[in-house]
Amino acid sequence: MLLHSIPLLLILSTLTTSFTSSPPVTTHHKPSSTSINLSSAATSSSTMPEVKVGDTLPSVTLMEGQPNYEKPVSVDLAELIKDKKVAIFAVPGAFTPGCSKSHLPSFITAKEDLKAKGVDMIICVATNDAFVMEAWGQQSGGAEAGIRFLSDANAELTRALGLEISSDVFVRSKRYSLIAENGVVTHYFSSAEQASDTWAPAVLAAL
Amino acid sequence: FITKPMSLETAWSTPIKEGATVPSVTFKTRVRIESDDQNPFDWKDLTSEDYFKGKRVVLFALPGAFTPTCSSTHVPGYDAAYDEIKGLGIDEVYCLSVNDAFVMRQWGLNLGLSEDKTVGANGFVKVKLIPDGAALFTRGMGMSTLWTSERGFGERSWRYSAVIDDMKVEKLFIEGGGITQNSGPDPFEVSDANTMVKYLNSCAK
Repeated sequence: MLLHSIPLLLILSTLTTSFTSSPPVTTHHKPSSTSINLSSAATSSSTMPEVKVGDTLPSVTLMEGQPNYEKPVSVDLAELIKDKKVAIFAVPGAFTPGCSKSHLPSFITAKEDLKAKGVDMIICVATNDAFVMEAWGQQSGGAEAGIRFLSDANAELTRALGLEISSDVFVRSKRYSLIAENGVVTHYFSSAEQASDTWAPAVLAAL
Repeated sequence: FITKPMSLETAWSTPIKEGATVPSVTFKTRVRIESDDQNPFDWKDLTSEDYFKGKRVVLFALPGAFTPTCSSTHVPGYDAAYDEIKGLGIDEVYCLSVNDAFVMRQWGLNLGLSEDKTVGANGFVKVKLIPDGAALFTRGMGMSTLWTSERGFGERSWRYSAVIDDMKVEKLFIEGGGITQNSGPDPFEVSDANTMVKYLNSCAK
């Protein structure tokens, strides 16, 4: 029953995330590397160009998980952010080290500073399903800090922004942050040069 | 290539038969390493052979980490029955899902499974979690299911359980008698731990 495993392995080796692993060194420990090498991501011809300042965020349906295994609820993004100034940041994966150790915590820490700059809501998006997003929100302390964890499971938002990491199996979002006022992007922070360009301090500095 | 809506090849959703050999694939797992770092894990490739060769094991697969049935009943049932199962001629109990290694580990912790903190360990003390994040094994088993319109999952494993003896499928319990794409119901009747224990007892006689 080997079937398609070989061609699949070939496809997957050229696609999406390639995680570099470094062997443990006993004298000077190196943190295990899990950096996502975006340059090796398959450049599928995206249907949409990359989002930019001035774009209006689309009316897409995202899902929000509920506590205690209650059924996830759908949320229309355009409705949610109408008449508000919001920060939206996206991560490739819930529970992954970079997202969990740096990107998300930076927004938890910066919550009050962002509020002082008029940011009414902070939204975290990933293409994980709503159950995983809710669990991550709980486990990370992000939900308690008031951050909304929204699932873009079918990558509709991610693709609309031209920020997908395409894959044969599961589309992920590139890492980014943005500020939108009444649905219009006023600031956009890409991770193309380095991940830290998308963390909260960079966002605050621009506001 | 142009991204297009996912459709599954028929073979990926045509369940393997008893007597057949499980697919040989590589899983991307995270294993504990010697380190003071806050994140003392690194990547480790494990193959089907690493998991299944030369052993008689129980495997159960489910649609998703952190989802209600999987979390409240399916995994806890097997973890509670783990010792009993091992006493019935079984070397290991695996739980597989189309989720990545990060999500799988966090789910195990969230469920209260005892973590095995020795370097190089396979994650948890009792039921071992297998991250089939790229769905390679699931496709090779013919258990691939799209669960998009109903649950926002994309491609996942259909729920089933199996006894696998030295890479060969000895016994298979498939929910609902077969795969339904974008299924409304998520049946859970034959792949549970109690049914498995009954079967293993009937073999032991």
